[in-house]
Amino acid sequence: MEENIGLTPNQIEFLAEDTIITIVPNFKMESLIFLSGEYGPFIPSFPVKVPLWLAVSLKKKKKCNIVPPEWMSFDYLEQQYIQENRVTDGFVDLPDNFIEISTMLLSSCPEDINDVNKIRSLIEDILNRRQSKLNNSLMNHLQSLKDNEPISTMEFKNFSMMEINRVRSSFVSGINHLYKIQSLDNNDNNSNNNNNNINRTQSNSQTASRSIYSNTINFSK
Amino acid sequence: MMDNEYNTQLDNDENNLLNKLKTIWINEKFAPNLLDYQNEIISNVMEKIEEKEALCTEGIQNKSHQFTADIYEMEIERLKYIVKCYLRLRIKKIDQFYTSVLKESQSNTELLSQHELKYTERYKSYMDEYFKKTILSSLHKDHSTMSPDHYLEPQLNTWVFCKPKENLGEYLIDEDTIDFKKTSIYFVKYRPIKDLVQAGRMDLI
Amino acid sequence: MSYLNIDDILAEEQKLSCKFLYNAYNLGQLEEGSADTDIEKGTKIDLPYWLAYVLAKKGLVSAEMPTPYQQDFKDKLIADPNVISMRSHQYYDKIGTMLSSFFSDRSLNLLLFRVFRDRFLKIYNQSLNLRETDITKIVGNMTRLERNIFENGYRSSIDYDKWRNRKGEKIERNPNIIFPVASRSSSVNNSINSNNINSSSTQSSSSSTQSSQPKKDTVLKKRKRIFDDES
Repeated sequence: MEENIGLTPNQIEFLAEDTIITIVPNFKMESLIFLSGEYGPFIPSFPVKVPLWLAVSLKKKKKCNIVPPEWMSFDYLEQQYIQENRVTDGFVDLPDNFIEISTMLLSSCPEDINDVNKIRSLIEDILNRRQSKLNNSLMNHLQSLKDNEPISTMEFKNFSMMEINRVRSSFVSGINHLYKIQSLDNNDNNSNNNNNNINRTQSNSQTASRSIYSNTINFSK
Repeated sequence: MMDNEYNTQLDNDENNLLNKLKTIWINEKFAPNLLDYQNEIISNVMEKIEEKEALCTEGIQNKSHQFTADIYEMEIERLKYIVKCYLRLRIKKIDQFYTSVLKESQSNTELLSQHELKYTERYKSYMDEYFKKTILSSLHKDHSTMSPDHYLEPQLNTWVFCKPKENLGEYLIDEDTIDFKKTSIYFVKYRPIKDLVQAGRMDLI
Repeated sequence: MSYLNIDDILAEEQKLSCKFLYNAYNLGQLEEGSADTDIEKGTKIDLPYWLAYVLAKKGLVSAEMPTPYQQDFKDKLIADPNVISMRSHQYYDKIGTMLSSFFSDRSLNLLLFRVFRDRFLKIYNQSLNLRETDITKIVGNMTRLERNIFENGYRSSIDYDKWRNRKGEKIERNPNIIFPVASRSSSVNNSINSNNINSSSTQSSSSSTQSSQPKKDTVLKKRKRIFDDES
């Protein structure tokens, strides 16, 4: 049936590798012009911004040290963890590509990170907490599905492609089958199910927005 | 505070060619149907790749530029990887849905690249030939042609995760009014948002 | 339903007990162990769904809901959807939706929705959280569709863990092997062998699917003529 619906974690990591990060090079080189912009010039001991893939590759060749992003600090992450626990029905806004970047940095330049072991376990805790929250909210959504109501759209804030990808293929194929059961039933009852193209609603539409956004939370720091 | 810096960095990047290339790959990946071929982006990227490859060959002749050339080589490989993923995904969909793709390409000239169009036509003729030789020719004449429902069609009623590029306002999806906001991610049926994805107003993730 | 999908084709092998409403000449071979060349009006024969569907739509036979979709089994299922093993009902959900629309049985549809929702909840959760357990037994109690979902979730979750632990760099053996080939083929055999009509139909379903599907159309066509002549 649907095989391999998602991307592999390595592909998502690949996408995150274009994130800009600061390095301190130990060599001299003129600026590089990439598709995403200009980087450099490279002067020993002068911090410079480059894409993460280049940073990791230079690090491997011992050509630079990586300056971890500010959020890779114990204080910041501890704050995030506390807030992640405080909010039960939503997710805290983490930096873009948080999982990919932190995982890559922890494995490629642990010596450049302060409190590296504390940070490692803190990130593990944050991710586990988020994972179980995401799981719970998807399970709650499933449990709330009624055979006589269309499967409602879900709205989320602040969670990442990596987190989606882990649950994507099983969740999507299950929901697709539930939808199939419903739509066969609706066809029998002459419902206008096939006619479900999008309709722009008037701004004064009185359609009551049902409270399906139980998973929404706009968490402001 | 600090992630603001990162966000603005990304916002500035939003329209650069690299991000456009990544976006069309990911959209193609998660859309159940074949999306329009992004000729402009692909040919721009291919042009850049060729330019850079030429530069790299020059660099190899000059020993002092070897290091820089190696780095450009890495960038080229990354770009090629995305282009290949994109094109292969499309070929995979074309193989699956060749009849409906050909039909759609008659009214929508953006759907396929020239190469893809040729490929699809040839693929169809091979498949027709194959079915004819292996099965259809030995059946009664009432059954010796394929009927439309014998071909695979994309499952437009599949569910997808998506993220609006801008605040899109309210849309009616089934019986729910959804206010599509830039800051949110939605888990929604693909069919109603298909046109938004094709128009580049909504990204699949 | 997709024409060339092997699971869809196998799902449609589900037998339905059908009563012939007319005499059917030269169709005696459909009746197991019968020496007659014809089928008499009123005879009851088990036919696969794909055949029963066409004949019933034409008003030539009346079909009965198969036992696993009758009240007894449904009661057991709804009492606790997660307890029942689907080992011998590999296509319960798939053919179930077809049957509910064929018989316009709304209650079956509701049941399928609830049962699948509850089983899916468990399967989804297991697929993401089970590690280093012997999953063959759990998987054996699922339908084909459920197993697919489980397999999808299990694989993405393992991929994720491997990536987090930076094991992705090494090439490893194909994770598909976690699902033993033996259990797959036995499930297929189940659905084909249970209640054979006769040897010829078994042959057609166990021979390559590519050819079995068009074949069944010709057979249908011939049968239709026989009935046409008669009426």
